[in-house]
Amino acid sequence: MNVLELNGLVRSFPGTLAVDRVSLSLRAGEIHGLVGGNGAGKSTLIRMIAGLITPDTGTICSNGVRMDVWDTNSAERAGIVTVHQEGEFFPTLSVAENTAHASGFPRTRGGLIDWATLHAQCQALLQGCPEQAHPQRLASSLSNSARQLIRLAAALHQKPQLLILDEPTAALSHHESEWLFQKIRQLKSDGGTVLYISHRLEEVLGNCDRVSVLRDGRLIATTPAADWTTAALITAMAASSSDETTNMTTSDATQTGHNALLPADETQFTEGPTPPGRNSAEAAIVITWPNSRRPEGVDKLPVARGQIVAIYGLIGSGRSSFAEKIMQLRERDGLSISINNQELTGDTPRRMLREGISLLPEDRLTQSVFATHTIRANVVLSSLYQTGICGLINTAVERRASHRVIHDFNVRCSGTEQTMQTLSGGNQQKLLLGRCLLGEPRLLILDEPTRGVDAAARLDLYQAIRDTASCGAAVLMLTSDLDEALEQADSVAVFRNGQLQQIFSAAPQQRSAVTAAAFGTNRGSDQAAPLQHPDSTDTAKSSATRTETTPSAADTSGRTPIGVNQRFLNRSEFILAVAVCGLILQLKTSASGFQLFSVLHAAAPWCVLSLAAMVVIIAGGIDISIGSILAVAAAAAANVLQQPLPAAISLPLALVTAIVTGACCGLINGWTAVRFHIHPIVVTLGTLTIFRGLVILMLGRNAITGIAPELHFLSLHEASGFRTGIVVAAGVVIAAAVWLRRTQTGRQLYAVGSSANAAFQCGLPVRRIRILSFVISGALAGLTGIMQLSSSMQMQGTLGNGWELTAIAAAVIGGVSIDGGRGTVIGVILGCILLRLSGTALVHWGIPDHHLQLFTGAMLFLAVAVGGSRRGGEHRHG
Amino acid sequence: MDKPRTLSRTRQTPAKNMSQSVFRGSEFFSAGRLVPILLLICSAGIIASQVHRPVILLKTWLPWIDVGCLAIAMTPVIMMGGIDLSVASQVALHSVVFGLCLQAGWPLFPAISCTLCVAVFCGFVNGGLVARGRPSLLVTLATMALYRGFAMSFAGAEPVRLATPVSDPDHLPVQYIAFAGLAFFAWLLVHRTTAGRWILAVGENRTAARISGVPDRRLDVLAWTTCGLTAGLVAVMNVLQHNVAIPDSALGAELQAIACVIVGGTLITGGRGGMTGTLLGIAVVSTLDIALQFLSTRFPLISVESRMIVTGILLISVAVSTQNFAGKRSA
Repeated sequence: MNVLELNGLVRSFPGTLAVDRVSLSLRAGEIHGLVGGNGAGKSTLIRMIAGLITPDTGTICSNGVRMDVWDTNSAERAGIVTVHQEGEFFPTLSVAENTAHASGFPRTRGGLIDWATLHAQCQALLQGCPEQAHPQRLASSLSNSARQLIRLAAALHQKPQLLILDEPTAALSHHESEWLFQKIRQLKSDGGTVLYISHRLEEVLGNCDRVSVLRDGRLIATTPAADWTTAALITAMAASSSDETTNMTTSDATQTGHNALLPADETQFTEGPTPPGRNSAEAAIVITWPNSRRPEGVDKLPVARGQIVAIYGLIGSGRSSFAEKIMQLRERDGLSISINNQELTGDTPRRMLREGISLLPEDRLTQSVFATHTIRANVVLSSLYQTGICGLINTAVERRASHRVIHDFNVRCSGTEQTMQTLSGGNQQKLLLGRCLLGEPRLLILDEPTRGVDAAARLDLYQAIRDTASCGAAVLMLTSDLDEALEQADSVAVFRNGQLQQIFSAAPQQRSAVTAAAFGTNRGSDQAAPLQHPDSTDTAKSSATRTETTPSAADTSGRTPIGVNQRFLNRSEFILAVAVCGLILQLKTSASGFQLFSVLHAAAPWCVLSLAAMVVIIAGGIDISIGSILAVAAAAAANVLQQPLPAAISLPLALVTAIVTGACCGLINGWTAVRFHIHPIVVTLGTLTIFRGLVILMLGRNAITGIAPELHFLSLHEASGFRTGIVVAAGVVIAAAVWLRRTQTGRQLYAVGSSANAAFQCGLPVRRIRILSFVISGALAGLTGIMQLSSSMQMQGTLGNGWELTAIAAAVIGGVSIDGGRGTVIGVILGCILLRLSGTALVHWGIPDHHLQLFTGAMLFLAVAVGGSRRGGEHRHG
Repeated sequence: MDKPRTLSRTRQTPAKNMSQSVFRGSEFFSAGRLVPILLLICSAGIIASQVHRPVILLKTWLPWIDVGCLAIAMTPVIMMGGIDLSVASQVALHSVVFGLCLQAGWPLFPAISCTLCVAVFCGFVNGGLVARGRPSLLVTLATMALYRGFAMSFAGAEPVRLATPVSDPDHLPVQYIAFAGLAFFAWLLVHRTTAGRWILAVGENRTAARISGVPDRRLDVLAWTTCGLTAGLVAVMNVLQHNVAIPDSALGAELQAIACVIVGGTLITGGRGGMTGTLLGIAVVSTLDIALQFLSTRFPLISVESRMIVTGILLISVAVSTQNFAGKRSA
């Protein structure tokens, strides 16, 4: 019986055919290995199985039924669970909650979330797992391997029919991997199927029943694992992709003969080094690793001027982080780099650039291209300080420089003022390479320079790289394409597990040796002739040490016990609570006539309004129109109250009117922001003025006074002196707390604010939740409006003017993170009460009224300056 | 905005069509600009038809010059993807500081330089915190309250009146000259210097900018400090004009300034926009407002409130059109 049958799946991306007529059947109760080099199409294949992308042609049969529509939902129904290599996480949520958003929350009989059960479930799910994270611990405090283990444990716990594991052991230690193998064997004996994708061939052969090999998007073979040996697998994967590209590289490219970016006529560019020739023996640049952390392999990487060194390694082998370390984009860990025996000391990317190191990063979209800017702006960015006079831009020089790049690299475009995003990937990459070269680097680091680039542009790029080298620059080319490494470079350095393993001369016959070194089997390396450190081929030594070295450094870093996320009060709330209690005590004892309830009474509408601000911020938005919404709702309610209706009808009607009006205003905000992808601050800035205008239109010139006195009971019961307002606010606060804490929608609000990407992966309706947050916020603001109306008994056009900022301030003081995903109702209420109390205290202490604002400001400023809210990612885009 | 990256990446089909390159040269007359420009022409026409003594216009526009100066300083900040909510509070604080200095009998120039020092410091506090990774929205929200609080405390809730008037209120205001100068220098900075190019680059893609050697943190400090300095200039001019420093002056001016920048076509997420747009935005918003003001004296239907509604609708519609325009090009 086949759990899943794939028939002739084809999927192409612009420029590449990622998966080419793959037919694969997965039997019930087997562990199926899937291996292949980089770019063999494994990831595309599993993304199709998971329903994340649709195949161009081909069919998928699940349990013998042919599926016409195959998306994430149908995959879920078929019992398919995927653990992606780089799964998303909700950083501000607890471990238990992270596992629950994908698989569902346990409920109590009343339909609320049962946290105790959830934590127990999480505990049970982590039973026997090497990572014993506390269920209430924050996910952001976990190391990579811990996250991966929890993800795996959660997936296994779902007892899936088909479990897809993409490189599950990349971040795991030997011991942790063993646990995983034991678990998947157990799953198999329970009748489950596992599709196991890995670069670690021993693991695949040791655990799988059948193994399929993919190469260049095609399925090469599917046979029982017993028929394979590691060497045979390597041969099958590494067989030279005999396509036109490789042949063309040697013949055509040399004939096309583009002039590379020669430092030519411009005065600014004449200081280029003279070409020293290709086989210069002098190693100008040496990259050295600290000795202590190098139990094996090589600890020096020399790069001579004019030399191209390819750095080859599988995905996750630490190539990119190596490049980022050199460029000072991340902590260096003792890695040092010297040019001509002079160590480079620059501590920012800018300084490194000035020292002559230039990096072309791997991910073009997020790391290197300025998509909406012109070609000229993109090309000259790194070397602008060379073209300017008195800091002013010399457009002519810029144009000439970009024209030269366009011409030299054969970029197909209409001119220097075209925007980057209208160009193809290959042309973009050429221009970005041009940007690096304009700075005349001494060391050029290219991370996957030909990723997503079509064949013709690839040849141009290779030519440009070679020309750069022959002009005297040293080139490090980080690549996961073995052909590219062997064809283009002078030597190939192999990375594995974040370490440099061996350095080979680039020759076609080294193919199997390089593959073996990259995959971590040292079979076949005895035929290889490494250029350096012959000791490192000592197979026994390296394979013995390997298991000890695999646990990553991150593993040990985040083990601080933090499980405070779900406690009654966290630290900042505790401080707030202490401050509130202290103030109350102080006022009780010192100030005569201090009434706590009158302060709370005055704080009641503010608490509700702060909750309104908080709800939107938690979901990752912001609403600065709540002050105006409040006024609109109050005006609408006042209009209702002025109608000649009996109080029994008009009062509830007014209440409903206010809340519904508020919710409608919130809906307008949310829908506009989500539908048109406008930043919520712009939308609510617009609606802030619109709603305010509406208020005055509704009121006319004058304030409405003498509103039905019956309404006053909402604030204060005259006869008994009972402060109804406090009760109303308390009710709202409790409802909000229960909603945010104990219902699935409430938690989804947090999830969306924490990470929209992760929420999307979990299948949450991100847009709907965002709109919902605005609607709830509007409704709460409307409620505040009628509360305010009932206490002041008059309606003015300026009601609520500027209140939104105070409400947001209260939320921030209460510990709500402006990036979303974090904040509690208790904190917000405490922040709000503290603001009110301190106002009263200042009055009692005889401090003039006008100092109050300073006090509020200082408190907020402290909360921001000392508090830990940081810019979410460095990449704050879209 | 909430489009997950996984989706947008699969949708990235490189547009190879050369005929798409219609975005050459001036972006001034792009689609997002159409509505504002038409509005500008209409409202200018209305004003021209209503006003008989053009000199009066100088007075009418005066409050908008303050907003305009703030909008100009705000433009680089927004181009970097940040925001400065504290400018209006800064104007209040700096005018109080200036007023107190003058009240204490300081000569004009020491008073001005003292005020500008305070202004630079206030801006530097914002910029420093932003450069250390705090979200600018939050930082400037806090300093907005803080600076306003200082203004109130220093002034003691009462406007600071100058005993000896420094200038004649009916004099032709120097604000216009200062505004023109500021606009020119800001335009030069944004469009003709490397710093301007860097600002756009940081707003578009901070990671890429850093890798390309852009000193993004220094730019943060620079942009917010400039904002503070401009607020100081506005404050000085205001006090000199009116001979009084009001601690709760310029309430809501920061939002008006932001609205001008957005109407000018600068993306709130950064990376696109410029000074020309902002100048257009200032012109449109102020002209529209003043035109409606003139009309409201004629037609009772058009009142203050409808002016606000019109401005709000203009803001959102421009945001929708710029966003769609940008979206079409990037999706």
